[in-house]
Amino acid sequence: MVVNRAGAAADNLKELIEFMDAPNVCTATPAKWRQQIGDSRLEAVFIGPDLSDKDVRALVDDIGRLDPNIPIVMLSEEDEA
Amino acid sequence: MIASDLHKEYPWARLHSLHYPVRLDALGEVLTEIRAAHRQTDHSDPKPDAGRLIGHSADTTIVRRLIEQVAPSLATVLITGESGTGKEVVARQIHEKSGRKGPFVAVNCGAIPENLLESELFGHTRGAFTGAVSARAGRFEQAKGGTFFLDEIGDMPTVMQVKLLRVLEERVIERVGSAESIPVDVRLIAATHRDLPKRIEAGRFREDLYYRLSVFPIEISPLRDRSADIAPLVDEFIRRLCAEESVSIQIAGDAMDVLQQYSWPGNVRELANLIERLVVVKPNGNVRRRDLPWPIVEREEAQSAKPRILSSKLDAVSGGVHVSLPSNGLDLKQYLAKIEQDMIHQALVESDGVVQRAAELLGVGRTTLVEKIRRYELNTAKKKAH
Repeated sequence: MVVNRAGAAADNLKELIEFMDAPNVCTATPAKWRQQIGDSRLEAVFIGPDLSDKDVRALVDDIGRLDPNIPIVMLSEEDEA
Repeated sequence: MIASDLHKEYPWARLHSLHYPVRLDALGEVLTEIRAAHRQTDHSDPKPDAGRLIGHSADTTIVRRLIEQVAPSLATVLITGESGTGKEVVARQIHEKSGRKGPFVAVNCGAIPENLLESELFGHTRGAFTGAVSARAGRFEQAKGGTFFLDEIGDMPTVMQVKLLRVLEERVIERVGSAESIPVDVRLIAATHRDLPKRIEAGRFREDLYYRLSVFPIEISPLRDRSADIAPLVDEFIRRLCAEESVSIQIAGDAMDVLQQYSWPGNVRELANLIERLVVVKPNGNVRRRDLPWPIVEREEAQSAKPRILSSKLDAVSGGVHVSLPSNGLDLKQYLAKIEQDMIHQALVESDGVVQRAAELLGVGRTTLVEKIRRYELNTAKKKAH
């Protein structure tokens, strides 16, 4: 699952992950991701670059409660320098 | 927020980092790491079909009743039985009937290298050892709210036995590399094909752990001692495989006779493998005695020859004299029990007190013979010397 505020960046990432033979990638916003997955099992959560620190912490807290072994991939903007 | 900051705040998290925009090679590396980690920590998936206990023999009926009794409690269960008898099936049944909402997580203690077992069971923090690139919860934590099945507990290294004992006593675990105690809400079921009392005597298994584990012991009989289960098991395996392979096979009466006489040293697993082989060899066919693999037919012939040898021995002993009913009658039950007792005594003397050999001489299963020896209070230590 890719969680990001901007839909375009999330869709772009989803396409790349699926291109790497990882099927069934879905995208969601921080507010909706939990209800969107329902009872499905998550293989990994990609946290998009435009989430605030507060959103990231809330998301990681929720993931920990759901299953502490779900891998979390943090995406961060590359430094211009 | 960058991943290294997040690591400090969430040391338990399995964090990876990627730069955005994403480069395909970097994404590929992360996906490979994730897949490898999933392979290592794969939750024991539910196998609804494999979780059913098949058969209606007395032994299986007793096991089924024990499962019903123990499932709703939190009691630790120790399942013993030869390899292939279906110990994991019993464990899954207990979990399914327990009403516990968490997962069923299984670990085979004999299959994990000694140096990895601790982190596998209890998890580790990031950097706890070389290769621990991210923190990981162990199997105990994964089984939160569910059932944790420790298979082949008899093969657990003694160092780990001490740590497991502590978990059972205090209900907390510590990840490798951390001093923090994490409470665990799991129901523990252990299983082994080993004779644990013997391993205790040999100093290879801790007595205190044994008593902690065997709060509710369940012993599963070998398949040879519950031949009434063979036909239902065969039917069930055929049903499952034929549904998967879209074929249909039948087992003819003469072949079923052989299967019921055979001793099944590999137990239910061996029977399942045989049916799988027959489905491949005779798809849409009627399996006859001649279609069975020769080792099974050969051993069945050897076994069925035993009663003939025994009866000729009996004739020799009795001098061919037929028994006759006394004029004042007799208590048949008591009379037969006396004969049975004498025969068991003779077999034990013949076999120098080795129960397995005596059971073979008498054509009964070891468990059956042990039960009879106990009932008649016979001494297995009697030797041939008199």
